[in-house]
Amino acid sequence: MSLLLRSVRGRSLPRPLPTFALLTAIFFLLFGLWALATPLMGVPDEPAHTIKAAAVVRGQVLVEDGTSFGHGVHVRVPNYIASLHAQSCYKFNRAQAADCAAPIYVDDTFTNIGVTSAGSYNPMYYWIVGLPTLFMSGAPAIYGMRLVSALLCALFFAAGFTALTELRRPKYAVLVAALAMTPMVLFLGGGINPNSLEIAATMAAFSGFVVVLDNRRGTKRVLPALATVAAATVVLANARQISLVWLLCALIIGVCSFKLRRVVTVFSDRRVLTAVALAVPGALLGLLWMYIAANGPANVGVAPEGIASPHPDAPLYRGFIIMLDQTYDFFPQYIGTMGWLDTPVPELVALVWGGLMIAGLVVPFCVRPLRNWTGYWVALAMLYLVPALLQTALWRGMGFIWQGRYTLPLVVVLFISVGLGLRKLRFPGGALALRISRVVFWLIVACHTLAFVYVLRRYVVGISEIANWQTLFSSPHWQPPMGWLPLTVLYLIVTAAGALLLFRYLHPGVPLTKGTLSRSNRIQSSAGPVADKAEETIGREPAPSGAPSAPGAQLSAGGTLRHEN
Amino acid sequence: MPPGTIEGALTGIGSNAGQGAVSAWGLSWGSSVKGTYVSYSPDGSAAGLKAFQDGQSQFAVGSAPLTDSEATAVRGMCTTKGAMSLAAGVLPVGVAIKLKGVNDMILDAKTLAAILQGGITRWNDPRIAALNPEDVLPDVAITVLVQQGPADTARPVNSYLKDAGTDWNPAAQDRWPGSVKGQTPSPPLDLANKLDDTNGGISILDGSIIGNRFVAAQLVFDGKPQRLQASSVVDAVSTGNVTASSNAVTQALDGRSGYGLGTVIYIYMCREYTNDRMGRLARSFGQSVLSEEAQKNANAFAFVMSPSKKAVNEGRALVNAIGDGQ
Repeated sequence: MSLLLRSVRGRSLPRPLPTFALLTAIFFLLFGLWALATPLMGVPDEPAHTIKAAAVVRGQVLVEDGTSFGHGVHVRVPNYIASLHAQSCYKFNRAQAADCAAPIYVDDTFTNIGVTSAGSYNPMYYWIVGLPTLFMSGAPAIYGMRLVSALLCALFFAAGFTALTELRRPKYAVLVAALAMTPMVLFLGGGINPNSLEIAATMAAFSGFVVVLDNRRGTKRVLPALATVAAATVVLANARQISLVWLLCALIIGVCSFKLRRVVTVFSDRRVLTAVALAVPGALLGLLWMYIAANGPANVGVAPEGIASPHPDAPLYRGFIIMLDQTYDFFPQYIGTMGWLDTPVPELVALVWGGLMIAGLVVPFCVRPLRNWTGYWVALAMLYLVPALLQTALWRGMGFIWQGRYTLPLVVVLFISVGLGLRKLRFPGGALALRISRVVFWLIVACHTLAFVYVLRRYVVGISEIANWQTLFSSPHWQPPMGWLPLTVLYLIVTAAGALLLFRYLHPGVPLTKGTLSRSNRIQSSAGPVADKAEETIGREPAPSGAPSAPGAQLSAGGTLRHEN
Repeated sequence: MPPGTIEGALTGIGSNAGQGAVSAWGLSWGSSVKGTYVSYSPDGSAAGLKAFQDGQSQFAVGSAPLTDSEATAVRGMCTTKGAMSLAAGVLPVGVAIKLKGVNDMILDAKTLAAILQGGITRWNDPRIAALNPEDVLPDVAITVLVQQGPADTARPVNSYLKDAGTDWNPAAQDRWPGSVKGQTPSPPLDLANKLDDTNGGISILDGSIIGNRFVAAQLVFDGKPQRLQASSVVDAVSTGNVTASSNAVTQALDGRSGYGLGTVIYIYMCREYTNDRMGRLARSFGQSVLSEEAQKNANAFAFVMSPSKKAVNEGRALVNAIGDGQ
């Protein structure tokens, strides 16, 4: 008990801050490298969002009468922004390298008409992301916009992961959340599109919320998580309209992951109520914007280019059933279908993440009791139903426009809910587990890097049926800033650093690179399965008087927490 | 940016009939002048003209030339010189029929008018049979399906029927007379889908939609049936009347030499743009539209025929003069 109290006292230090800073740096580097590696406007719908951002920071926030047309809303922006749709020569054609696109000049600034299909979107994201265009111009300004967007996403992903480490038994949740950072998630983080912020903020909102629920009697210790939930709520309410759906899903899954009594307790907590009070005005602003947008001129009247056509007379049930039928067809897009849906990641990468995802989906069926997985069941049901319902509502007007990336916020939450469900199990630390863990970690690093360099290949020389890897060296047609090779090396270093950080967190004192165990770990291994060292040092919810410290947990003679299931 | 660089995007609004052609012209321009792009919204000729006048687009597309007063009144992105209209393509319009067992049909103006107005209600009507003596026509009810106006396809059919001396009095050239049956607000592609599902259906559609999907009736021009096919339309265009002025080049189709039912696609541009860079960009686009390559693209991808050589040459002269102070 004294050990527990010491641990709790140790928590008074600002532990989450360095974690948050380190994770922000890692995510920002990853997103930033994707931002440099992808040619400008190579991210889906990037021209529309970039034009919208440049318009918003120039005061064109509302859609005015007479500016809305079938292909989008007309705004007045500098010509280098208005002309971004012209960067589309390589779109949908992975054999075409990015050198076909014209340069984006710094002095191309006369005011021209820009067309954006994001005209009626909430301006919050665009206000921030568009700022670089006010003091920069040309390609540097657009890279600046990408980096600002990348920083925003990095902040929320870092906040979400930091929050997860505050769970009473965080390792599984942190591990699964890290594995849910697929190449697609990282790719999207490097572009100008609120889709990436939506994924990050949903992940942060869910992670912060479950941490608060997990620490219901000690919310003071998880104030950063509480702040994360509040901030993510405001951001999601002011992102796209669909973002509120993801927020609602995340909160419902969070509630279902714990007992109802615990939820009621949390919502009677003073700090929680303060956070709610802080988030409500921001959320109301988002709702106000929705009202304004719904009553203003139409945003766009035609389906996105190259996707599908409207079916005004189609029976809705058919659209719903088609979407249900295609539920698992979107998994390759969760893993990585980069560019304008034109560059699927290599099969190896798809296989590795496919295996991990299948394992994640199957695990809850193998660990009893099944009622402990309520959050997961609800999340899985949502994965089937929510995209189907949303797409069905859009079918008649816009056709089949659904893409996997739209569902990624829910997918990330689904897999974290698997980690949450596993939290009562002891985290494996035996020799075999460590060996497997090392192999898997290096495999993940390799796959992330392979996906990155493969996408670079697509833009530098184009993907041809012959394996034209050598032409990357011999005759590159296009080069990203800094060159493709330095970017790849940097990406490898950053992903390896991230993997190392995670491995050390999961297996304290055990090296990722060596095949042998450290002394302390050998001692632990020889004594049986290793308990969560992190859990030992991270504070836990104080048990009520006379009650066990946590369900299924007990302190061993050696002060090591063991879990019984 | 190197001096003289032509790079950027142009935005246009206009007729539905122009969508395929503008798309083909834009592709051609983008491939010949790197870094250029056309964004086009087919919101209708009237919406296009309004957007052009309000400065919401750099060009517009319609199915009739601007009148002199309209052309001089246009401001938007134009200087006081106003706008000009150029005949830039011809999209054939056909009478599409969906009738099981029937692969060909001849109709004249009077019969077509009677069908559209409900005076003939069955396909084995003696007036239709008289035009098609070699065919056995089924006893199937006729279902008329036409796009409620304003419609690009209505204008040439209205002219055809009126010129033939039928009792045909539309309130406007791009609207059907109220007596025409089966007017629905569906856009052309939806109309085609409905026609596909209707045995005994008849509709007025552009040639790119009809393709091989429906039977296109042969129409009688100057006493002779003409088939809807590219060569016949080109014949009608090449001998059609062309007029040229300082703000317009118009093109007509001559039914005496070929299939004369078609929508002439007019592109409206400023004679001079308020911004020099924009003017250079628009001139480059206009030159590309009237280039051989772009016209071939439009023919191949959108079944849009080139205007006659005379109309193209006159159009090029006007385009080359954009913003040169004349």
